[in-house]
Amino acid sequence: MNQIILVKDIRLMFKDLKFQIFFLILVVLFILSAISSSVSFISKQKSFQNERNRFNDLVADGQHIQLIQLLQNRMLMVASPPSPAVLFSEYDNYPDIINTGIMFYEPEFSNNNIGLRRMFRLNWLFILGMIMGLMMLIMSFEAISQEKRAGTLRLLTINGVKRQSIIWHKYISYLILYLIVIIPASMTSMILFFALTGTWSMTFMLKFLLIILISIPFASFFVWLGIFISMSKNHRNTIVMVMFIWAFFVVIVPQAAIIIAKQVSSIKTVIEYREIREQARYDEMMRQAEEENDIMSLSFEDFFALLASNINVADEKKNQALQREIEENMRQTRMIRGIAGISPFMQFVNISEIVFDKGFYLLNFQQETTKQAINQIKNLMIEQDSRDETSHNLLYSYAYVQRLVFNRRGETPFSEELFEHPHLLFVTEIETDDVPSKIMEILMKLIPILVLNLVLMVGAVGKFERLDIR
Amino acid sequence: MLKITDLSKRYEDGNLALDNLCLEIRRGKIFTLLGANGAGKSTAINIICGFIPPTGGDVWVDEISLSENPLLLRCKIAYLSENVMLYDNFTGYQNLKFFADISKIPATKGNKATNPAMKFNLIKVLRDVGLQDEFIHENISKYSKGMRQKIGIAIALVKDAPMLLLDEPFSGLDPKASHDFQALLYKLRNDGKTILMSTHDIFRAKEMADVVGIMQGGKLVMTKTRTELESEDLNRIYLDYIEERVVMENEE
Ligand SMILES: Nc1ncnc2c1ncn2[C@@H]1O[C@H](COP(=O)(O)OP(=O)(O)OP(=O)(O)O)[C@@H](O)[C@H]1O
Ligand SMILES: [Mg+2]
Repeated sequence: MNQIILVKDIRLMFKDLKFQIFFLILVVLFILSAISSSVSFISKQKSFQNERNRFNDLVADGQHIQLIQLLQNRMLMVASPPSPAVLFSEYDNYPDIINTGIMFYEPEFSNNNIGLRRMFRLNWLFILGMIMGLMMLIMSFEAISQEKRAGTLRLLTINGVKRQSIIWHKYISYLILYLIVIIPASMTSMILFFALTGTWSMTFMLKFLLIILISIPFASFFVWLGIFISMSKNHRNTIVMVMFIWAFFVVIVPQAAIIIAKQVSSIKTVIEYREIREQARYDEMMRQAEEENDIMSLSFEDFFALLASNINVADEKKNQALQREIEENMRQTRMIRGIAGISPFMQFVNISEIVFDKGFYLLNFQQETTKQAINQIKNLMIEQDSRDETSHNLLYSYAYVQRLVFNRRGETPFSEELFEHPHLLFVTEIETDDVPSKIMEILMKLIPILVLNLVLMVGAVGKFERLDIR
Repeated sequence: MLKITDLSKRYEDGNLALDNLCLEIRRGKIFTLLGANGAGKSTAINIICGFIPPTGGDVWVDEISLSENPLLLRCKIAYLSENVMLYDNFTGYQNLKFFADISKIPATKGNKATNPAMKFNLIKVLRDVGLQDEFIHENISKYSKGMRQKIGIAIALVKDAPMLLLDEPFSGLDPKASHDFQALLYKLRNDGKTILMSTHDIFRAKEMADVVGIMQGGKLVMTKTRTELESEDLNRIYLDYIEERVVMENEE
């Protein structure tokens, strides 16, 4: 590494108006993200606290039936305290799932486009996953063409700088630039968030730092892409090309993945599932009504009595149908993730889910186990008729179980241990894996982006080696 | 000393820009290269500098071959193009300083890496090439074409290379600057530097050159020494060759 060239490249960028604007925008975005995340965190915390107080009251009064009803409806509110992870991303599509009453999986990319909606929320995911790539592209897409136009490429060459060295210095200087921008901006954002929300968590600070670290290969991908583009002959169209390439990787690929997956296996939304359920009920009723002679001859009261008596049977059928749908759903989700995985943005999202213990995998397979666990608690509570600490703990554990159904791995978390540390639920995030195996998993998931980097790097260096630099 | 043997270049589009060019310049001489637009002057200079690869032939500077040791060859060459742009956001001084800092002769057996530019006082060099003091620390973006050219000259000078390749170096210089630059080139020649210069200025070519060459269709079609030219009209000769080219083209 030649320090003189590196310093030159970095200084050139600092003096570049593009860079100054870019720096300013990012600092502002990071600050805004801290503010907006803090607001949503605080409001969530408030409602969470309210719910918790209500439960405490109900526990104290020993009103178990009401308690359980409430829990069934609001399981999620109880079980997922707001976490500082909102600074990174909202991850808030859980309520949609729980509201259906039956646990099935709503993939990230549904008709409602939850995925896309999530992208445009002002948080770190938006900044690092979307804006950053565009900015690195815009910064670097003139890397070589500018030097070529200025004739400095010739002067560098004649002064003994090897071609490889020229391109590597450019690359390294863009990465340094990235860190120079991102570190102070993200630190400000983080500190602001902790200060505004009054939370402080070492774990989360480390997670945020880890995310910044993980974002480097993604930034690097766009830098190589920019350098590659900067060698193109027709430079007039490159800015359009840049925008298109960025949109391709960040927006088009994930959306295309949905469309393709939908073609391959049809997936339904929450609302569609609800309709199916209602339809199943109605059909079952009609079938039985037909068996019982002419439905039209029934009185209005009889009609409803019939409906009521058949609801259970219908529900059972519907559940079976749903179970099959769930499997289809899972299959499709994997497919979407697979296809969308070409997009660095989606890769980044997937890795972030490991870091923040989010995401959706395999959850339906735990349904039976979970139900059993929940019933166990219910029975225990009713048996003991307890208004004491134990029943309090039980409730939280109940909630905890429900919560973990939506955990990334879908392992049954129910164990005796939980009874002893109910408070954990409210203080920390649920840790699924130990840190080393998480790191391993992250490294594995980094392989695609590293491969993309390598491919572009080889392509760019090779192209530059053959470039006519007059 | 510069020696070019059978140098040829065919561009990707099939255009044969150099057709077995042969040329030799002895140490301490000025060789001016004339030729119509598209004759291949810039192509030849670009190949020697390593900006584009040749499709055949080789170049030697002081017994160092382009094909064998391009990096070492470049240490022996200073280059000046007709259109110097440089880093827009740097001052003239910063541009010069940067290129002075990076130019160095790599270590060889028994010798450490050296940087000949170190012995120059850069501000003084900038004054010597005729840049006004108030522009030395001004951004290049505010420079006129001629002022940039002066920085380009300064960059070539501080490299202190034995061979200078100048592609239409006078373009953009005002008469005073041209005159000064010409004087500077004489001084460099007297210091033992070898100079290859392409130009369209026939009078200057004749005035300055120890040897004049005319290129046409990628070939060197004529060389004449100063003494040979003394009694002749270079302008006439040049036009004759150009016209001959027209004839040749008609025959095809
Ligand atoms: N990149 C290129 N691709 C294809 N052909 C080229 C390229 N560059 C130059 N040429 C062709 O090579 C020939 C020689 O061009 P060159 O620039 O060397 O001429 P020149 O003598 O320097 O002309 P001028 O006096 O206009 O500077 C021309 O016919 C030109 O069209
Ligand atoms: Mg030319």
